[in-house]
Amino acid sequence: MTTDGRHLLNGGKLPLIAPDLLGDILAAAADICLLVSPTRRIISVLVNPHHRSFGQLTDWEGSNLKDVLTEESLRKLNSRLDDLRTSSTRGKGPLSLELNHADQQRWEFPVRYTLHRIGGDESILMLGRDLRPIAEVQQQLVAAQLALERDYETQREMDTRYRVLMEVSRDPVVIVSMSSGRISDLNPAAAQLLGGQRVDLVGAAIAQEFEGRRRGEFLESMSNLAVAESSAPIELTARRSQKRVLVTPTVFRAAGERLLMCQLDAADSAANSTDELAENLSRLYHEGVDGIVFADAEGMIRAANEAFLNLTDSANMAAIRGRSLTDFLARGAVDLRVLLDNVKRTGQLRMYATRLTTDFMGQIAVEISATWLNDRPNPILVLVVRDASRAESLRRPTFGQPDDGVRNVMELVGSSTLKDIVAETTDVIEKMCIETALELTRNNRVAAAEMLSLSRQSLYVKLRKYGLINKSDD
Amino acid sequence: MHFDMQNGTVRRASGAAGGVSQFAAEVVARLVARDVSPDGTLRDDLVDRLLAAVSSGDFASFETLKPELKRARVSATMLADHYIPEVARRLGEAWMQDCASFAQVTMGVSRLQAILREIGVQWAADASGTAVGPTLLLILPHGEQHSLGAMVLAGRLRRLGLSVCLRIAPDVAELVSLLAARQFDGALISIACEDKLETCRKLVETIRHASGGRMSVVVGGALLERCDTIVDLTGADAATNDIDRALSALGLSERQAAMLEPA
Repeated sequence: MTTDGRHLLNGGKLPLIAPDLLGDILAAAADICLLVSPTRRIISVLVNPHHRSFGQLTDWEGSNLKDVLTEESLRKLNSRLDDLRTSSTRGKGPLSLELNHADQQRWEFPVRYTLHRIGGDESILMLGRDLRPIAEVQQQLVAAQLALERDYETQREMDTRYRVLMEVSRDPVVIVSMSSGRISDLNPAAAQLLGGQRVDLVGAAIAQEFEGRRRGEFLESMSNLAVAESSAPIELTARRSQKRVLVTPTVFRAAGERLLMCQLDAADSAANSTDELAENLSRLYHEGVDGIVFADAEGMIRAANEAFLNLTDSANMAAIRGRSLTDFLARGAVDLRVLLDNVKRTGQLRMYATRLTTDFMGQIAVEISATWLNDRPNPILVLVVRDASRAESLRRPTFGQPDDGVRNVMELVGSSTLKDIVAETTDVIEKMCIETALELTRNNRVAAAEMLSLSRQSLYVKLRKYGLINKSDD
Repeated sequence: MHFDMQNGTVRRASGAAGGVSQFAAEVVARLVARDVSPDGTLRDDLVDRLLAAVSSGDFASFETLKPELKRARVSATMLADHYIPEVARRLGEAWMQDCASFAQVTMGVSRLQAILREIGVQWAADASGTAVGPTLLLILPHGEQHSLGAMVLAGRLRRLGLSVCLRIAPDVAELVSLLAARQFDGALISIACEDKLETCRKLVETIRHASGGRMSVVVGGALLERCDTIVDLTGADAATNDIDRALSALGLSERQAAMLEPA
C-alpha cells in the first residue's frame, strides 16, 4: 500500500485540488509545513492559522534548513535524507522523524515531520506535527527528576552523618517502633551492651531482649516513664548479655510514626571507670578475632566473647553461660583435664591443639592458650581460642581455603538453580578427573579411558566437549 | 592431582568426608570464578531485556529481570558502569533512528536513573573510607538535562573511595557559599550540549575565584565526543571522559584513590 497522494488522485478517489487551495489545505492539515528546495533552502513556511503560535517564522523563508535546526537534529535529518535518496521509496510510507527546531539559540521546539518528495527534483515537503505539549510535560518530568535527585543527595549527606553519629557514639542508644515494639535501629555501643550483633538486633522485639518482660507491658511502662517528669530510669536485665541495664526512654514522633528512643547505661557503671588498658582490653575482647573464654576452676563458662560464639556457632551468650567447656571440646573431659592440670601446675599453657565441637555437630581445628588467674579466692581459667583450620588448609596449597569454599557456595546458592549448580559441578568434576587421568597416564588416552571406565569413544566425546583435544589430534 | 590424598580436617567436616568436601569446595570455587564475566563484556540478550524493561510502561518488568541478572552474575557495579550506560546509549540511538520518541527516551532514562539509585544506595565512600580521603565536587550545570552520566560517575567515584558532593544546577551564590564552607580536592563538571558551554565557563570561573585558584576543574560529558576545544572554551584544566585522566588532572591518581578503597 502507499499513501502517496498522487496515487489516490490518479485513482479518482480524491478530486483534483486547485493549486491556490492546496496551500490552505496543507497549512490546515499540519501544524507547520515546510517546502524545501534540493539545496535545503526553505522555500516557504506554512503555519496552521488555528494552531498556537510558533512565533515569527516568516524569517525562515529563504534561509537554510541548518539555520533552524539544532545540531543533533541536523545530523539526524542529513543521514535520513541520504537514506531517502539512496533507497527506493516505492512501497514504503513517507519518511517520518522527530526534529528539534532552534531559532538562533533563542528557543527550541520539537516537531514530528513526515517527509514527502514532490516533483521530479529533490524538493521536499515537510508536514509537521507540533510536539510542544509533550515537550512541556517532558520538561516537567525532567525538572521533577532533577529535584528528586537533589533531594536524594541531601538525604545521602544527612544519612551519612546519622550513621557516623550512631557508629561512633559511646552512649548506647536503641530506637524502637512503638507500634510494632521492634527495634528500628541501634548503635554498636547498644548492641554490645545488649550482647548481640547489630544486624541480629535490628528488627528484634525489644521486650524479648530483656528478662521477664512482655511486649505490651514493656512498651507501656516505657511510654509512661517517658512522659513522667524527672523519674529514675528503669533497671532491667539484658537477656543475651545478662547485664543489668538502666533504660531511659524518650518518646518522639517522626513522619507519623511513634518512636521510642532508649538510652541505655550499664547499671554497674560505677565500676566502669576504666583506664586506657582496661578499655583496650575490653575492646580486644569484644572485637578481637580470637575467641576468649573465662571459666571457673571446674570449667564452667562464665563469659565468652563474640569470636568464640562464632567459632562454636552459638546463638548468644545466654546459650553458653554456665555450660561446661567439655561441651565444646572435641575430646570433652580429657581435653579439659589436660588444660586444667597444666595451668594449675605452671600457670599457663600454650598452643594446645584440639578441636571445638560446634552447635551443629561440626568440628573445627583450634589452638588454645590457657592462663590461670590465681590471684583471687575463686581462680579463673582464661582461654584464648584461635581458629587453626585456616592455617591447616594453607599448608595444602592445591586446595582453596574452606572458608572460601563456604563463601563460594553461598555465592552460588540463590544465583542458580540447584539443578544448574549440580549440572555445572558435574561438568567441572568430569573435566578435572579426565585431566588428572590424562596426566597420570602421560596422555595415553586408551589407558586414561580404562582408568575412568569409559569407552574410548565416550572419552573422545568428553575430550571434545571440554576442549581438551588439540585440532591437530583430530 | 591426587584428590583422595587430602585427608585432613576441614571445617565442619572431618575424615574421609573432608577430602570430598574439599574437592567439592575446589569445584565450586572454579565454578564461581569461571562464570564471572570479565569486566566490560556485556551480554546482548540482557542489554535487550533491560532496554525492553525500561521502555515498557510497566516498571515491574525490571523486577522480573532482577533474578535473571543475578543468575547471570551481573553485579550491581557491572549494571551501573556498563549495562545502564549502554542502554542509555541505545535509547539515544533509537531517537536518532526514530524508533523512539523523545518522550519515550526521557521516560526510559528516568527509569534507568531510578534503577541506578536503587542499586547504588550503599555506595558511599564517606562513612566507610578513610576520613582523610579525597573529596570532589561534581556539578551538573543549570539547564543541563542529561543527568544520568553524572550519576553513573558519582557512583563510580564513590566506589573508588572518593567522597563526592553532587550538585545539580547550583546557582552562583549557592556554589560560592558551598566552596566557602567546604574544602574540595577538585571539581568535575558534566556537560552534554553545546549551549551549556557558556554556563560551564562561568562555573569554572566561579570555582576558581571562590577557591582562590586552588581548585582544579575537569570537564567531561557527552559533548566531548563532538567538541575538542572544550578546554579553551571553558577555561577548565582538562576535558576528559576517562576517570583516571580526570583524577590525575586533579592531582589525585586513581591508585591513590584505590588505596583508600575499603577492603
